[in-house]
Amino acid sequence: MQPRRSRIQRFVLEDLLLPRIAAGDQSAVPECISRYGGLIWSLARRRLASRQDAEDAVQEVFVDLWRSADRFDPLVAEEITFVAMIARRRVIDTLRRRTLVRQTSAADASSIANLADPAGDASVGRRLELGEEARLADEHLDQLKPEEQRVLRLSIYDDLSHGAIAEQTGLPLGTVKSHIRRGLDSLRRKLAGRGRPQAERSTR
Amino acid sequence: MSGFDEPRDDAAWDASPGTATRDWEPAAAAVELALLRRTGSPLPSLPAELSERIRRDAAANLPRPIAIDRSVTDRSVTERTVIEPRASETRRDLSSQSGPAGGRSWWAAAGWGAAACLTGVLCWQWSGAGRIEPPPGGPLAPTTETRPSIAELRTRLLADDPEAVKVAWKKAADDPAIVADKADLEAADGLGDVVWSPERQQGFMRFRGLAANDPSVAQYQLWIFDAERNAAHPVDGGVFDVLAAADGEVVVRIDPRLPIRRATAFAITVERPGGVVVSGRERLPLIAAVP
Repeated sequence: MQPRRSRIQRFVLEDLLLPRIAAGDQSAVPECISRYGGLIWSLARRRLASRQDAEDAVQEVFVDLWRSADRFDPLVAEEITFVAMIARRRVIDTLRRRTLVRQTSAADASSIANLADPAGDASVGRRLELGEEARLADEHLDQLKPEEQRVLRLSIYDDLSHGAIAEQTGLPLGTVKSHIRRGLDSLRRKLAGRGRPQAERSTR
Repeated sequence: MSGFDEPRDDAAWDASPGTATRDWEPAAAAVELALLRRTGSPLPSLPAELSERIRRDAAANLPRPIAIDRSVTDRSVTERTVIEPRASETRRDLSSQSGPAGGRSWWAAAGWGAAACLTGVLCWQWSGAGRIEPPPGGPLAPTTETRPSIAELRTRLLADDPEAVKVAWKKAADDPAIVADKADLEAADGLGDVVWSPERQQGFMRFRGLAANDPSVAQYQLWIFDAERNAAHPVDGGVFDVLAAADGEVVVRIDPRLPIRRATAFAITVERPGGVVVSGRERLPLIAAVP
């Protein structure tokens, strides 16, 4: 387990790119593409059946990043979480707009390496390096009951609607909503607490 | 349903695949990252052609670069840089202008001559330490000296302002700028400290074991984190130089350009001459976090 750092320490110790983007630093662009391109590409390809749609969505995600870089606040979220948030928002919007068939089979996680058009995806990049927030989310998932964990996964990872989750799991719709709300809200509180100096000290 | 807030928009919530309200978006993103990692599969690389297209399009969407007013930054080097070697160090530094003291400078030795000359000028300007010392008790004893030294100002601030905080510098990373010996590194405030008065908006930094720099090559820059500002954009505390012996103690006045409401941390980076608007933090030797 790596020692946990306050968010200010993370800012000064980690090589953040979005503040440089926000200042108009062109040299940060290739670094940003290199660092987050694979992640954004995988988030798009998981959801969008058409390669062209995925490419369009990824381009739009990067435009969103360039334009919203000044709204990134390391006191609120880590950079990788912010990027994933922007990407999810844009890709899900694209998914809705195009009403394409969702890749529900993405629940089989190994499908990431077996995306359509293997020629274009043959170049496999590095393994995803989690930030502290994703590590916390990972721990959080482990603490949930299997049923709660499954519901959260179907909602967040597989993008199923609440009704579809209820249908698939056999759980009442209210229970599905409750599991998702409770799971996300408790994680949100944990993430928020991470930035406070008091909490930081207590982890040392 | 209890124990947590209702989402703000139930309609959006019900319709939303994979996302909750915007309050929960960071949590949802973190969960997806964790689940993605659990797959154990490496991320696919962005297709090269797409990567190139994104890079080309970026110029049209990036914010306009913030220009650095060179005349201002150059002036700031002169006006805002205050160097106060210890008295004993001062005498030695001024007498050894022909080369880097102790041979520990990590910048080009070629710049040492100019650096040492500037040291002399600055020490003369700010502390009077470079003046020829009159004989003790003689008629030219510096009884008319009215300008207190920077070190004295620091001491006064600590004595006069009970709200002033003092925090020790800590090594943030292995960096050639830190030339402190082992004993200093292990001591609680072996690398020096920061004194800051929120009320007076004044402060001083004291350094030990910070290497001398060649101002024509690089300068130190101070960043101040304010709890009431975006931490992505710490306040520029200005650039400064350490021109004295690397193993001496220097005191630098803090002169932020913006009011600091609640300082949470101070950080030192090494930047190009004149400083930068946004630091890439490639070199960040020191940090002092306010408890």
